[in-house]
Amino acid sequence: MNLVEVADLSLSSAERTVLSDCSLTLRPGERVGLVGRSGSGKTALAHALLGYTRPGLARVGGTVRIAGHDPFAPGGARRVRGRLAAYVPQDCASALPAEHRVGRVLDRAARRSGVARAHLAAFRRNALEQLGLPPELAHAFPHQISGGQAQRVALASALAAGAELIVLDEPTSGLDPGTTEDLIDLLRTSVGDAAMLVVSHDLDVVDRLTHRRVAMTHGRLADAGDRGATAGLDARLRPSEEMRDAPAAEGKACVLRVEGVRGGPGGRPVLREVDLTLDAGECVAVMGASGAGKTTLARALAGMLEPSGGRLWLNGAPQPWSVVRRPAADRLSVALVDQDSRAALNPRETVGKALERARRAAARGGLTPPPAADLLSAVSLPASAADRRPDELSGGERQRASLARAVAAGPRVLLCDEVTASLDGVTERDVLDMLAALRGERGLAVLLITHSRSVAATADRCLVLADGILGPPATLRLRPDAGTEQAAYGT
Amino acid sequence: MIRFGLTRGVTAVAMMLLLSAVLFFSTEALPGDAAGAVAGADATDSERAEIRERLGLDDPAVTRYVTWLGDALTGDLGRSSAAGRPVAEVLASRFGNSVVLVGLAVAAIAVLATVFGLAAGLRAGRLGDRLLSSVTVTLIALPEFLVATGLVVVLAHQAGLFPAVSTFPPGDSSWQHPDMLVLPVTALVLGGLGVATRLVRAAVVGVAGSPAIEQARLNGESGVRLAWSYVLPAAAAPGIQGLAVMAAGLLGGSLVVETLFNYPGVGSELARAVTYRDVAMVQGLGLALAGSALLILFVGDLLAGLLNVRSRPGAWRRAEGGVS
Repeated sequence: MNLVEVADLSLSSAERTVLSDCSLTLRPGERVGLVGRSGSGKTALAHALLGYTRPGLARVGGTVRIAGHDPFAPGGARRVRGRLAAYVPQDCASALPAEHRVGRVLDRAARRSGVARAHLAAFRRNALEQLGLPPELAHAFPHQISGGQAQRVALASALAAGAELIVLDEPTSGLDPGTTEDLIDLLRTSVGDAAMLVVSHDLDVVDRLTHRRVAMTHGRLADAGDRGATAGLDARLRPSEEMRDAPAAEGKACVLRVEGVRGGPGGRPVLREVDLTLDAGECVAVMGASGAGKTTLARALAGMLEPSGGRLWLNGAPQPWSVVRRPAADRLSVALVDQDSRAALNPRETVGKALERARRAAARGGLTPPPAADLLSAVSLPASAADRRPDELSGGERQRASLARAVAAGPRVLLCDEVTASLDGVTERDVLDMLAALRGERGLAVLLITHSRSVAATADRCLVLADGILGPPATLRLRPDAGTEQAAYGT
Repeated sequence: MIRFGLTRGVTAVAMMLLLSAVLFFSTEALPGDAAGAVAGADATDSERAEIRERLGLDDPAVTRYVTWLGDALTGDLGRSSAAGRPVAEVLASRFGNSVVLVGLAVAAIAVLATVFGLAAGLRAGRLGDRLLSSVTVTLIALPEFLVATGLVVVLAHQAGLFPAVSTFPPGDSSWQHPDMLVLPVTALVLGGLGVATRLVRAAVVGVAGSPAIEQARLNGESGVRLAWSYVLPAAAAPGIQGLAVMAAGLLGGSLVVETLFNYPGVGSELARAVTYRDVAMVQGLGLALAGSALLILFVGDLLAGLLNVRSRPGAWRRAEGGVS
């Protein structure tokens, strides 16, 4: 008997069809990749396997069976969710309940699989050890652990639940190359004989983890038994190997300069001595391992976090760190596109209204912002996205909406914190092209924080943040096995 | 967290000083004074002047404010000009009764508002939520005296279940007369429940859409366990702050209810003092009520801070070994 049987499944929201007639089967222990561009309906299908639809979505046709149970029926949902099938979400750090210690999360998963209370402690130790996590982690709250650890905890709780099907939603987005390698090794060794559905836009990751893959385009599933059938998609999703030269900027005016930046959130000395200059039209990439302080630096430059030391100049004039103390005219000149686009956008406001507000702010500052429609098409979003709220967009679409809003306010400096991490190859190129055009036309300076060497290669300069110091890449200490990532991208 | 507590504490003290000044000078500015009330309507101007001098009413207002505040800090709230007893003594005999009344009401509201708020917030937009919302709006719209009068008419006069007037012998504690507490407490609960339920519901709706709750649902959590272990801890901090605001507001609401039921609390005494132009009493009781309200808000903020795992002091966290 097949473990997963999805037949002619259709989902739709009030105004559009999200999935149409999707059929998918997984045998016990089979590993299948689900690929497609962001916003194509991958997560909706993954949720449907557990009988869940996001608010506003409804199943309009078709059936789902997991080991014979219907997860859309209340009785079936009890058998399937967290028991037969476990879901490991894209952003594990925010998906762990903030008030539960890691140990409690694992205990709860173990209880679902029927582990007796007396054996919980031993079971928990085992679960942590299996994923290479220290036993003390059981006492930590989710906000005290790193994103990579949170993902392992989510994986450990999926394994602890004894699931026969593990659904992984974008398991590698936002991880640095070293952590990605570790995760792939971990998934290959520790998942055992559970079946796995890997949702990802990264074909390389999917190929290494799964036996076969299916592709999603605009809510339709192209079930391909062999890889040849999806070759066309391959060509479109893989990042191109030729890297464009960044357009040479006219007039090298220094728009942003910092010296001796020290400190970090809560006074922790994440940054020790950071110096940086950005000229108009220049693009500088900043790389570094998770937790090196890249986001801290971006937040300090944007005026959202006051470092304990260091000085800042914008357009040649010294400025205070805190954005509220900067003069009105200079407040708009630095824009930050946050890594967490869900937190960055107002959940009650449509994308169109958010863009309109940013454009009005730019107009008050004496700038002429491009029309909202142009901004949306520049980040490859359809015009209909303007009427949607952030939670009606996929992770990748939301990230691009956040980018469009930052550009709408007419900044001189754009700080991009992992903006391309959750984008597929085609969209990533579109976004980088848009940034290149803005740099050429308006002399916009761009700071690209990224894990991807291919993205960093599009910048004029690449710097590495390590041990609290920003330096040239010669000091880059990549893990030995990270070379595979380099090969995969053909750089 | 400790710094947060200290900052909030200092703010509360500053707020208290400001309130005491507002209270003192606004009662001063009212027409008529204690001299007029004590001397009676037939007194001559010279008799009034004599009383004014005896009571120290001719000193500049600022001097009298400083004296009054200094005395209040040492527990001396002056003498009631109408009853002749020290205000502190009256306050001591009435304060406990009011604490019992408001405390019982707040406890009942906290439980009911949590249950209703969770039930409505987790079904946001559906029929159950809309029904509960209509009920809470109705409760908010009904004035307290109307609710209290309605209770008296139905439960006391027609059904005869409870006494219509909650007067008991002075010296007795309200605990000794539970039947007399039922109607005043019910009136207060009905007055505060609407606002409290809506505050809890708003906090729950905010939490229910979070990725953590979505993941909990995907993990098969539902019903009471989802509400109790996942939604409530995340909604507790804003919920507690909402309840604190509501509890502070109930102190004001208790004035109406106590007067209506003739319940021997601070509120009914304050209403009487206003009628008699008993300035010292109004100022003393007002100061006590303002202090209590500020204390409740302060405790609410502290509790909310302690409930938030991100801001708890180190000792509460037990182990930090997990941080790496």
